[in-house]
Amino acid sequence: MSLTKENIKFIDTYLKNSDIMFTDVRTEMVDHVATAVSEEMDSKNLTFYDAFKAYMVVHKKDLLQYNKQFRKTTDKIVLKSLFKKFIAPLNVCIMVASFFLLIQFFPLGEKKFLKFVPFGFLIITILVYYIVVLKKRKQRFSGIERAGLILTFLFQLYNAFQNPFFNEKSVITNDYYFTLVFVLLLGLSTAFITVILDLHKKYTNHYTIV
Amino acid sequence: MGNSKLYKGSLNTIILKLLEEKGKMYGYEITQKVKELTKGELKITEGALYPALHKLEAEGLLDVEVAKVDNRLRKYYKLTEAGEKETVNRLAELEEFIRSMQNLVNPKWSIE
Repeated sequence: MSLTKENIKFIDTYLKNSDIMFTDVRTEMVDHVATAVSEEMDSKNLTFYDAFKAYMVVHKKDLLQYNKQFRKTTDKIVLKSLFKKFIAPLNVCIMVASFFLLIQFFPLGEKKFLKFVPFGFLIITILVYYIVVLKKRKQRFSGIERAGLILTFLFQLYNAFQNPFFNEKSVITNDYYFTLVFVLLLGLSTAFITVILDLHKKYTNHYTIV
Repeated sequence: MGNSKLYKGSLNTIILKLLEEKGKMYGYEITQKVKELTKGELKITEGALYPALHKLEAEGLLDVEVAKVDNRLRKYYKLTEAGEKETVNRLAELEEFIRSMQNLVNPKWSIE
């Protein structure tokens, strides 16, 4: 027996309320649960709600376990892609060219305003997240959010321990070091943007409803 | 079922083998096929199956196709070219493992 749109919506909302927030995870779960419930309805002659309840009593724990495991797998995929994009020939060329151009025409050692760069990045990330996800209630995809989280973590890790723009007594205070740090952050950001664009393309191709 | 721990290490190979035979399959279909082939002896849970599928996809062994079926989206998995090669390797490894286990559990004694 095929389920109605309302039945599917019900399953989707139930999973969403069970903290399975990412659309890509939920889409697969909705299909799994719907197929199982539909078979249960046919074989035991149950109503949708009875079949759904019976299924969830036995399988909810497994579904939540899947949700948890999915995050770990997504983190690995995103980190791998981020590294690949970071060392991609074009990105390396951009970093090398930026390094020499900056050293030649715009030495960074005395540019005090650069200490705000990591904070600026963090504020922009939070703003984008607030506007796109919380305010507009757009679909949330695991890869995109996990990539954002990883990048923010990397920036802040660096910021906490090694930001030369904050550390006045830094051992290394020359232009080369400042410029190198700036260029690496730039390379990481461009890698991040290309990963996000790839993921966004993949998600919009795959998940357009639910 | 008997002992799921004995099957656990072979889950990826089981998935690859099924996809090699069937071409493309979706998650629930895989669980039901395994249940059917093992006469209910092996029941793959959602918490084990989907992470395994995503890991294989991340390794580039599986490709994904999404289709709309009965008011919802369904994700189908199929082997990539690398996945086809890897299936052959992993099946050979599994067969070798089974042979070794047979020799350990049920050794054929002989006087040379």
